Amino acid sequence: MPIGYYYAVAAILFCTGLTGVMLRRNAIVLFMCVELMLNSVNLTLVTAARQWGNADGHVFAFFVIVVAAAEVVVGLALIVNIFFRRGTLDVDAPTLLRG
Amino acid sequence: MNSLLLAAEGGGHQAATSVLEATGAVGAAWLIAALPLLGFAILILAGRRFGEPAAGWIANLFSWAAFALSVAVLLQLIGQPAAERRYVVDLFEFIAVGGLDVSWAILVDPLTATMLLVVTGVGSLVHLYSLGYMHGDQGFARYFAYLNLFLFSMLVLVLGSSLLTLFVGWELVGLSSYLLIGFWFEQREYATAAKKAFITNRVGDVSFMVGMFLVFATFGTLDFFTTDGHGILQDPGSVLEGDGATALAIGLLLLGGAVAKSAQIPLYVWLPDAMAGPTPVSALIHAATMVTAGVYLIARTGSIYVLSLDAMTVVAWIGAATAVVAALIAIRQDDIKKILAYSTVSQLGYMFVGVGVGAFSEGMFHLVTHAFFKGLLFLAAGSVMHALANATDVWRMGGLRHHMPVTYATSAVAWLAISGVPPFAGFFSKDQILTTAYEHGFTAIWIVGVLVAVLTAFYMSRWFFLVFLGEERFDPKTVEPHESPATMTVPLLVLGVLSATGGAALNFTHHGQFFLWLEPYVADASFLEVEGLALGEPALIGISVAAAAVGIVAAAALYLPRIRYADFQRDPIRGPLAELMERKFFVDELYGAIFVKAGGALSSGLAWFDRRVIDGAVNGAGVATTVAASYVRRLQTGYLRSYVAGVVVGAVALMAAFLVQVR
Amino acid sequence: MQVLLVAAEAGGTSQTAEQVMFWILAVVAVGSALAVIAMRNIIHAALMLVLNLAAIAGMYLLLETGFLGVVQVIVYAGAIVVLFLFVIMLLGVDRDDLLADVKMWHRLGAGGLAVLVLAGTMWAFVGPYTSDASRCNRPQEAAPAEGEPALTAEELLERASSHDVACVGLEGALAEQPNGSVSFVADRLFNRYTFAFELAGLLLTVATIGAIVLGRRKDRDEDLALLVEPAGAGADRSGQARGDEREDL
Repeated sequence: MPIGYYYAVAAILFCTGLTGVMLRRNAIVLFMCVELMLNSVNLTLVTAARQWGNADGHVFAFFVIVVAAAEVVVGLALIVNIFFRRGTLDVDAPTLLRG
Repeated sequence: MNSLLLAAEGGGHQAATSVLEATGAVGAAWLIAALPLLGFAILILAGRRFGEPAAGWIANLFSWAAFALSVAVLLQLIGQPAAERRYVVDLFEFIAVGGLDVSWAILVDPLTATMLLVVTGVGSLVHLYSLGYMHGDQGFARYFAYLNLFLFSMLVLVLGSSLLTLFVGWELVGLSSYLLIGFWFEQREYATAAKKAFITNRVGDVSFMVGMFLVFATFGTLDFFTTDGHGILQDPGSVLEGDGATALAIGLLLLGGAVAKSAQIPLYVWLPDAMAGPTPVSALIHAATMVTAGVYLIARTGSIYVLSLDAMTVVAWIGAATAVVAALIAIRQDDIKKILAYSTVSQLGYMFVGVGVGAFSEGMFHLVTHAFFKGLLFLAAGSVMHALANATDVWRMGGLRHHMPVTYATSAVAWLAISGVPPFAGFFSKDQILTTAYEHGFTAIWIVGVLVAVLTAFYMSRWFFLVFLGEERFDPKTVEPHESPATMTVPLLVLGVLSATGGAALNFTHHGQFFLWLEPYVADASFLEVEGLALGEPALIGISVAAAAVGIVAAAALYLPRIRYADFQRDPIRGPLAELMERKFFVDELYGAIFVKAGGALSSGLAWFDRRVIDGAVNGAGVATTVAASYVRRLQTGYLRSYVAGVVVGAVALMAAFLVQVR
Repeated sequence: MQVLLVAAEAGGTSQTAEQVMFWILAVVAVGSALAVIAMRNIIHAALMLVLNLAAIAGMYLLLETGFLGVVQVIVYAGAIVVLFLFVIMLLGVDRDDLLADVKMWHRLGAGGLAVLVLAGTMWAFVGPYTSDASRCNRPQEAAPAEGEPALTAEELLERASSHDVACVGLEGALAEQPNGSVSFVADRLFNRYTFAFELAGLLLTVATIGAIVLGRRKDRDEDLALLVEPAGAGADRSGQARGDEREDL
């Protein structure tokens, strides 16, 4: 299998996640889409590790997983908090930063 | 810890001969400075928790430990042969950039050891004294923290083995002095006095730094002594090769630093104001130790000074002029501490005369005895103020000898010592400076010195009479004079004994023990000796004693009959000169007119420029930003997803640019 | 798991098997990802995310990374998505009605942007690696000629870059590892990247503490809540919403 196909899958997954982040207003789904993007990056790292024969990419991907786990924990706690305070998961509802 | 021993090869040319491991006390000499630093760290962090008096005893513990180590160092040095008493102990690398490679090393030789003993000895006594003096003060722990910090700074200064490490200590003592002068910073004038001291010292520091640059440019190093014999004090003559102009420039620039630190003309104005600090601080920093740093610096770098007779003459004349001016001012001061402050300035002038005329070890000798008797005088003044509820006006004192016998007796010793009455300490050191000045051909300076000796005896007698003798002129209803507690009287007694016997014990004859101890380790100025002088040493001693007698008798004649009256509150010396002396020759006003006014004018000019031109530009930019922002702010929708879209658009643009560039 | 590992072994050796596996996994991954962003039911979306993550785990196996494949299944599918589901059920929000509110030009704009990103990536980073030269583990490179020593990773890399673009493969890097990528990652984590590893542990601890702090609810926080309200009438609305939501709980 030419290595580029793996890259292609990763690119498609990334763009799918990106579309989701731009479209979905539900905070939890938005967060899932971020996970999609993170995973596609991981796939890229692993693919590149194989292409260049340097397995350090695996270690890097491992760290990405760790950081993603931490991010999910904090992110979901934030989402729960926001929901309790505002009663909605709509990310367009808090517009405090509007200029 | 690498260390090397540098022995003097006779005379002023000091060269490295052998490298030995520093053992025993010398190897641990760094602890002398480290211990007070530890004390400072403990007290500044947890001092409040210890409270009174535990914080004070902790500070005392570290101070006395440093003193004990200093004594051990001294004993070890004495145990060595006279030519093998110089050690350089490398501690760690300090700065390594380009050609400048400064390792932090400590220098231990008789000159350092002398300073170590003075600093830790007087320092420890002052620590002890402060336990009583600072009793009940709000900042008790903070005070002792600062006191330990000062001790550390001063020890860094005297242990420094290069101009740079010395300079670090130099700045640190400036800082601790600032902190202690402004110790009661709640009072505005005290804080101002602290700032005045600090800023005046900065003027000298600039000069010192430029001097350092010049030394580095000339010698390529700042180390005093190195193993390969290229230290700046190891035969600087061969580097300068008769280049008297460079030696003069270095000498004058370093002198600029020294006059600020040691309160000499023209930068002496900060010292009298520095009396705002607690009195033990005045005794330690502004009489015994820090202000003598300038003298130490010149004695240390003496081998550069001897290359330029002009530089030495300038040093000597600055010292002589300061001695006269300060002594004249001291005659008409009314504040018990201000009199002593001007007296300190005057005595420092003597020390400058000493190192200026090539009497390096005599200058250092006077430094030591002065630390004894002037420290004692200040502590006695503190004791008096303690007894009189912080009164400072000598016209409101008198008759205290009945109430404070210990303070009275020790003050009497100090008074006789500073006046130059044999066999007290001050007589030996002062006389030896004057003798050397005369023998080295500085006859005019010798005459000035004798004159100052008369003045010194006069104003110190006046001080002593007004404070302790005669009728009580304070209001017995409001104050109740009492002798101070033991923590304060013990240091007085110790210093009293030293003031009485220290001179005779250390250096009874002109070329006594102390001279022989320092002589191989300071520059050799014997080439200055003049043959065939009119007066021999006995005649010179006679003149010195006569000068002291004249001063004391004059003061006695003038004041003793008058102080029997309780309403004697006006100085009998009148006239325009007395007025001038009382107003301190208008030097503060003069400086105010020249520097403050001129600086103020310059500043207002700059302020105008700042307001109109710079602020105009800045405000213009601000207004422009506001206007622009009122339009651009609409981009900030507050919608998370639109920001994401923005990021993606940016990413696409970047990618496009990147791809266009690559292909 | 054993099956997958065997399949991975097959992928490493047989080109055809790898191809078959790849296409299945790719279709599943892309399909499930599209489902995640399109489904209105959030629980379904989360389940689709599990499927997607599993497919990627399979790809890791194809890419000779058994360790990461297993970690992916355990950590992502086993922990992270479960956390998602837990939160969804805790909040009782399994339907996303907001999706219907997204305007058409938003959809078109977002899709267009994503396509642009995809096109750029494909052109720059995928296109060059699709030729036969980019096949990994081709027999002629993996197996050296008789009598010659096996090629080192450096030599393979050198040879690979002498072609236009190629694939070195992991044989060289993993050759000295007794347990393939597991021992390799372990070796790296505990030797070269020890500090980063410790930091990652610290990060997880901090994240846990942070989540606990965020999870605590105090009455005092009500005042803070007012600060984040939108100005005006919003205060009333959200006050009501809070009340309703508490009854639900």
